[in-house]
Amino acid sequence: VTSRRAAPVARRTGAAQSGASQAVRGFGWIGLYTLLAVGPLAVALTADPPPPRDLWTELSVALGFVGLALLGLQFAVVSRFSSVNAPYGLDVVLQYHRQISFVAFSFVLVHPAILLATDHIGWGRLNVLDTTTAARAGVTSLGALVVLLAASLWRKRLGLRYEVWRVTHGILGVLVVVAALVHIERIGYYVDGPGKRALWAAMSLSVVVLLVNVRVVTPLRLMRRPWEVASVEPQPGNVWTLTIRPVGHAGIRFLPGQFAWIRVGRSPLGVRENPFSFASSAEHRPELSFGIKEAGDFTSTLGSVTPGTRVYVDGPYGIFSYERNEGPAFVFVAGGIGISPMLSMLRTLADRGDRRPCVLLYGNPRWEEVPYVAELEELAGRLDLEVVHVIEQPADDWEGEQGFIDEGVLDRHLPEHPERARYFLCGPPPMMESVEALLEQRDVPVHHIDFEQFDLI
Amino acid sequence: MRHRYTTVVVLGMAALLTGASLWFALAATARS
Repeated sequence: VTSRRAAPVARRTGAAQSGASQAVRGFGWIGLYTLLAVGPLAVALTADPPPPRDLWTELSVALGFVGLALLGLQFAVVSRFSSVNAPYGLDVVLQYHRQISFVAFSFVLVHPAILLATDHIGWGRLNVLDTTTAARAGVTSLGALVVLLAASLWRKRLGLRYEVWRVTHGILGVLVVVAALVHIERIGYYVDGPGKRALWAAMSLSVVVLLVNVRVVTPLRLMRRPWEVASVEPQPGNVWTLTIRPVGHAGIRFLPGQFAWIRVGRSPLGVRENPFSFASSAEHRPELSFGIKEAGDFTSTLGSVTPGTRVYVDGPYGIFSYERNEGPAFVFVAGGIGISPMLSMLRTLADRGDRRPCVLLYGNPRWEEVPYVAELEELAGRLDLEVVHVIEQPADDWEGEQGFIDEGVLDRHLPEHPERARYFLCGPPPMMESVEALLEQRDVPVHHIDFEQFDLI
Repeated sequence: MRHRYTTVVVLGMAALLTGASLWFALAATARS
C-alpha cells in the first residue's frame, strides 16, 4: 500500500526520482562544473593568444584563472537550485562549498607566491599604497578572500552573529570576484579579442545573475506565497513546536524528513533565515510544523512569536527521507532535536497505514529534557514501532537504556536482519559517526545508512 | 558516508585542476 501511495506524492514533488536518474544528474553537474572550472584555461589559448612567457609565469597564471573560476562557481554551488541539490542533498553541497574553498584559496595564494619565489615580482609590488592598479586589485581580492575564510572558519569564536556573517559573506564574495576580474582586465593578458571578452563578461554576469536570483528573485517569489504562525508550543528540552499555515495558497508538498529555510516575522528580503526540518506528516497538509531547539539568536525569541505572525518558507530541500531510501524495515537514530525529521517520517508512515517494522533509538541527556514523549508513545500505538529512549544521565529509578547509543543498545534493539533495514541518523556528529561505524561492523551496507546534519550553517 | 564521498570528489577536483594548470603552462610555453 505504501509504495503505491508514496509514488504519486514523489512525482508531484519532483524531489524523489529514481536513484539511477539522480546519479546521472549528479555526474552531469560535476562534469559541467569541471568544464566551467577549466574553461578559462582552454579559451585563453585559443584564437590568437599572446606570445608565450616562461613556465613559472604561465603556471602562476593558470592557477590564478582556475582559482577565480572556482570562486565564481561558488555562487552557483550555493544558489539553491533544486535540480542541482536534488542528487546530493544540501548538506553535501554545502560541505563541497566549504572544502573546495580551501582548494580555490590554495590556487589563488600560490599564484602570486610563484611569481615572488621566482623573482618575477618583488614584495614591493604587493604594497597597495605604491603599486599598479592591477596589483592593487589582486591584493584586494586575496585580502577579501582571507577575511571571508577567517570569518567563516571562526564565526562562533569571533562572536559574529549568523545574520551579520551572512551579509558580510555575500559582500566579501562579490568583492573577491570583482577585484580579481579588475586584476585580470588591467594585466590584459589572455583577455584580448571579442570571444575572450565575451567569455569574461558572461562569467561576471552569471555571478551577478546567481546572486540576484538568491537574494532578490527567490525572496520576491516567496513574498507571493506567505504563511502565518498558527501556534508556538513549548516542549521539554528548550524545544518549540512552530506550526504555520499558508495564507491564500495551497501550501507545499514535501518528503517526510526534508527541511525548509524559514523567515519568521520579517520581510522575505531580510537575512534572518534558518533551515529547519519538518516535523509534521507529509500527509497532513497544508499546515506545517517544525521542531526547533533554542540555540542561536533567532531561535531564542521563538517563545514570544504570536499567532498570525508572517512567515516565509523556502523549500523543501534535502534528501534525508525514507522515500529516497525504501526498505523492508527502518531504524531511526536521533539525538536531541534530531528527532524532528524522524517525527515527520514516523507520522507520515502512520498516516499512510504503513505496517513495516520501525525502531527509534532516541538519545537525550536527561529524561526531563526529552521532547515529544507523548507524541512518540501515540505513534508507537499506530505503527509497528519500538521507541527506545537512551538517557545519558538517568535518575536513580530509570529502568531504560542509559549512556550513549552504543554496541549494547544496538545489539538489544536492532531488527533480526540488521543488514536489510534502512537507517536514518540525525544528531550530534560524534553520535552519528560512532553509530555508523557500529552499523558497518554489523555488515550494514553503506548505502542503507543516511544522515542529516542539523548544524548546517 | 556521503560526506566521505564529497571529500574524495574535492580532492579529485583539486588534483584534476592542478593537472589542467600544469598542462596549460606546458602548452602555453611550448608555443614558442
